[in-house]
Amino acid sequence: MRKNHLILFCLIASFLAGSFPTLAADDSIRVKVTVLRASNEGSDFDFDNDAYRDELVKLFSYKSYHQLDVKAAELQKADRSIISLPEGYELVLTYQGVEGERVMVQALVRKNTTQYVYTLLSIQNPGVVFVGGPNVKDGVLVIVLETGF
Amino acid sequence: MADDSDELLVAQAKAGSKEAYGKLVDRHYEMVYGLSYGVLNHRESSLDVTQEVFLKVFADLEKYQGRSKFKTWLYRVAVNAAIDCRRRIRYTDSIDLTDVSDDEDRAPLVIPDPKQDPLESAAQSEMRDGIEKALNQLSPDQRAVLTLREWQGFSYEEIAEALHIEIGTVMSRLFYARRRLAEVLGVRYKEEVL
Amino acid sequence: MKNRRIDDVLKSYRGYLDEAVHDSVVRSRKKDFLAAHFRPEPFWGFQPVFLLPAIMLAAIFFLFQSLVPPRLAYIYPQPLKNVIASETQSTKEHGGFVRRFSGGQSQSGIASVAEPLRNDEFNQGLPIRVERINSQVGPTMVFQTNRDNIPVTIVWVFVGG
Repeated sequence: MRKNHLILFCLIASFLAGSFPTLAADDSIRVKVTVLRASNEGSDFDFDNDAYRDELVKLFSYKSYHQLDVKAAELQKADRSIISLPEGYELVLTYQGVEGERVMVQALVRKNTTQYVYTLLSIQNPGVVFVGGPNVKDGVLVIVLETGF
Repeated sequence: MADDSDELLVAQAKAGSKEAYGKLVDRHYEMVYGLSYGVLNHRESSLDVTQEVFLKVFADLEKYQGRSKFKTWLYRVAVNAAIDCRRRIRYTDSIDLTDVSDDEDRAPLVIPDPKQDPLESAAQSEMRDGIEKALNQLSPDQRAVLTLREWQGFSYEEIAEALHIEIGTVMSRLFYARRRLAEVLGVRYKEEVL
Repeated sequence: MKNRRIDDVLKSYRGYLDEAVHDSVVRSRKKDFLAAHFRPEPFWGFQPVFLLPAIMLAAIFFLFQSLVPPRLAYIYPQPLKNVIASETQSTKEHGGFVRRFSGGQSQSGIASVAEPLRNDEFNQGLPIRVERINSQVGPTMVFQTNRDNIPVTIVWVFVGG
């Protein structure tokens, strides 16, 4: 009888442990990366992401947005994920662990050894970050980072 | 008459002048028809929608408060009516708007100009057929945006206001509509910058 | 410079719609529609309410003329004054001709679309915080907003700025 109680307890405990996942408790987080070229040339609007498309237009005053790539990165703790960007740029994402209820993610856009933009983000809930500014031919790069999808 | 602005005619029509409203109809009929045709690609349905729109607008004229231009308000009613019509027809399947066997309802046959190069008129005919085919592959919403932008020259803001959608949505639909048109016509859609 | 072939495609598209719009059937339907629903009002003098009495009085006048000897012409009625009088009366009866054609008074009950409300209040409890930012190529900027309840963060570098 006691053995059965123990087994039952373990089952309930494991069920409870698995039923309340939080961003902070995961050993990895998933980040969706969309790479855009924003430009004042032309009027393309090639961006599949319906959730943020209108935000893009409201926030920036470029005339055209061309989606260059979409990737999903699964970041393991302390691991780096390197995503190639056009014209020799790279996006380096690092999951730096948890602080309280927030996960820490480092994002770096670089080209060769030059750091174009480095940022450390603490994320509590899923959200979106637009990282941009590096120049490319006919425009600038805008990288859309979405977490918690 | 040329100096009567839309707003002045609307005010007169609201006061009961059918003549004033008739002038508005006269002024905007072709535009409303063209918009409907751009969405429906079918003459009889477009004529029905055009008349329905003008009668509805006349009945609801008191609701026009002047917050936007009359033309914008009218075109909003028109395009929504055309889109609704398109959707209804798709569900009932009673009229196949892609059926081109009834030639009378298609764009009118252009009698070839005897002076025109036969190769050129064949090319134009092929282009027209291609445009029809491409339009049939677009959604009603994409057709509406394409018509307002390319045929009416509406700005993105005007289209957004007329269709009650965000500017980003306008840009996206326009991009896909233009690209589809180009693809079906065998033209590579790419804007090149020199 | 844009792709000329794309411009040709779009030009053809515009031509396609122009042809459809200038169709003779469309012109004819427009004319019929206007005539059926929004015919211009006739000059007030030719409106039936004035025209009929005027015609009747004119008929009576000419009839009277043919029956009464010329030397009694001074007692002839004055049709013009009567027309004016009936115009006034008609105006009173009908409240003025601008009100005659009051058009549809539809009570369809379609509500006008309310302007959307926007919440621009900055949410202090942001789901994403930018803890650190720097660049080797120019100044940087962080912008955060909670527009339409969608929290958005922008991290930007002004290259060479």
